[in-house]
Amino acid sequence: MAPSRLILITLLSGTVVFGQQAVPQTSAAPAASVPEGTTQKGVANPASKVTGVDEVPLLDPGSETIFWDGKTWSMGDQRGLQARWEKFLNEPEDEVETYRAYNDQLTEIINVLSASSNAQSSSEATARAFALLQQASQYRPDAGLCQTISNQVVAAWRGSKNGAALAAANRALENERKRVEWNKQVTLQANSLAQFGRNSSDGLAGENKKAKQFLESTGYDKRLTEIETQLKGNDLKGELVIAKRKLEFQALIVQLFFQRRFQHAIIGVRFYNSVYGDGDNELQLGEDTKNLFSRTAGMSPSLFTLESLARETMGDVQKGTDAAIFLIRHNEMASGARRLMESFLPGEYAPAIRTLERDTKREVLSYERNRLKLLAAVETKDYTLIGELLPEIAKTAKDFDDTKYRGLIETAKAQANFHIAKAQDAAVNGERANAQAELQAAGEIWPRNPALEEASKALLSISSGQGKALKELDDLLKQRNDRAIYDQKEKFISAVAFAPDRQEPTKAAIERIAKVEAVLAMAQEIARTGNAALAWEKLDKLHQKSKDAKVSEQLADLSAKASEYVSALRAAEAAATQQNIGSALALYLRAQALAPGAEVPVEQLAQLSKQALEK
Amino acid sequence: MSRRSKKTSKSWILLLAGALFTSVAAYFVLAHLGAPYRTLQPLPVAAYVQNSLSLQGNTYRLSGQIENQMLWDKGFGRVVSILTSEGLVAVVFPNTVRADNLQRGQKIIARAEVGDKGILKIEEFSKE
Repeated sequence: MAPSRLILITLLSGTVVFGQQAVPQTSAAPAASVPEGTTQKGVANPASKVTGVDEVPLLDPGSETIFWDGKTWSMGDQRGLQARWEKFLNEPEDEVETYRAYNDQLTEIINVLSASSNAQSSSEATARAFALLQQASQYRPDAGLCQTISNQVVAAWRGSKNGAALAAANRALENERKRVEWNKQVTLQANSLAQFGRNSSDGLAGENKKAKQFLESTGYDKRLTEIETQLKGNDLKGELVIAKRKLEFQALIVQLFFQRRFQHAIIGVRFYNSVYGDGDNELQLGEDTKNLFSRTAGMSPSLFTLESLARETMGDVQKGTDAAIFLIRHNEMASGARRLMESFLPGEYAPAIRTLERDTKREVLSYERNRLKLLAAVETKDYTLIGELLPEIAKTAKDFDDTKYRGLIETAKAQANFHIAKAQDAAVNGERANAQAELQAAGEIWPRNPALEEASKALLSISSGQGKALKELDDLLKQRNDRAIYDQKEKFISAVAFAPDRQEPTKAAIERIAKVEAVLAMAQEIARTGNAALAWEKLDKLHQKSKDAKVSEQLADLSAKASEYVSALRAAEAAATQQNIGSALALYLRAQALAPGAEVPVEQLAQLSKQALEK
Repeated sequence: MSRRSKKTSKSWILLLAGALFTSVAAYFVLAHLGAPYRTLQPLPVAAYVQNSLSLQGNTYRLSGQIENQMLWDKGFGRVVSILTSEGLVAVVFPNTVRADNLQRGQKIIARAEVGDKGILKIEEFSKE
């Protein structure tokens, strides 16, 4: 994970901070010659502060998050990363044969540079590797990086030549100094012999003063001072030139590393060692980056460390990609996509990633799109969409854990429906403000809840006409006026659609009258055939259960038509009540004769006959 | 001759008429005298239907046609509806009365008592 953490710095900040240590700046040119190509490129101003370096972003692989600048970012959802990730998944795989040849070329460069041991073979190997570098830069996947390395190597070589020129200039200055000193010595001796005897009376102090004035008049001391100054300046400039070249080269290597061009970084390291074989491999990094290196790699930052990290990362990428492909083939897309992304982040340009089949990547892309839709749906609380996406994702990702999403849906649905129910109650009771508040609460939990829209419409309706209808219904239910409810059933059915507590009694009332209507229709049909007594009996039975006005009305009408039967029946009932069984039997027999098919006389005769026989 | 013949014819007609009258009268007298339970008062059906309790303890002659057997219990007997000239009444034929092969349409004459709760019980009967 150490390389991932380092690479992430670049991915996030897009900047490589390099060589923050103070580098002496000078505007003076060397006395002998001015080194070519000396620039400040790649050398950062120590005073400058770059985002992402003062505070280094930290990757938590466990939660797939990045902690940076006091905030936590989801690794998978970071827009920049996501864009690159999607782009990769949509790209065709690099042409395998071309990529293989290119990769072989890079490997050969590394091998050639690694094999060199003595000075002679090292020089030849460097030259050969340099030639291979030119060839490798012609491949499309290289994107000209080998050419960049090549340019840097050339610049380093030129820097070495400038150092030699400075040394020659210094030698010339040294000779000049010796010559001036000699001349000064000779002049001083000749002058002192000629004037010593004549001016002996002036004393020793006077002699020295005169000698000094004489030397000043010759200009030797001034010249010597100038030469000394030039020599020191040239020494300093020579060191600066080499230091700058080294920094530039290191900057390029680190840049390549952070760009995840690990093979190029390794090639850079090898060339660097070849050009500057002085054993100085320490990387000139800022304190924070140095500390990060130390913490993550467990060693101080050097080119060797960088090469080691590059190799380790390449190995990790290869293993991760293999594992991802295996998981995807076994329909475990959730893990497979994660492993692939983990490999992609550090190994975007690694051979295993570049040659991954496009079909495989498209499968991952399909899953990733659904996953992103899911995340967006969770963010927007679109639980309907979440419910639709989960089975879709499960088709290709049997390892996808949808438990938390399903829990989320259930909880949200329950809470939203609870608020909708409360809103309905409030609306029915005329509490408009409460209804609105409850609807708002339901909307906050599940903004795109289909039930919410329906409830809103219904409540709007309830709060106007249907509210009154419900009030009227309540009154009729209290009065047990089933007939009135039945007569306006369309209105009340609509009104109770969102008043669940009233649905059952309303339905029961309507059903009761529906049964009454059926009996009334049957009685009318019987009466039409002339059997008014039987029709009366049907309605009389019904009337004992229902006090419906229509039944009472028709019963009264039939009572007139079947008066003899009704009289006989009523008299029989009265007699039976008085235990006048003989009369009751005779009267029921009369009623039965008047209304063949009537049930009451038959039932009563059977019962009374039993009583008569027992006695 | 003719006057004598006319006298003889009238005599025969009167004799025959007298014999016929005598026969009819004799039939009714004999029929009345031979009818069962002729000493019993016929059941006042209307009064019975109106309030049978008021006739409790009385015994009547009941004649009518069997309308329907309403109930039969092997241990107790049967309840039968009788269509009288004044309407239907229900009577009990207890097992103590031998009442084999009662069926709808048979005419019976019975001695019946208005018992407890006004229930009419056959004590004796005969089929016509």
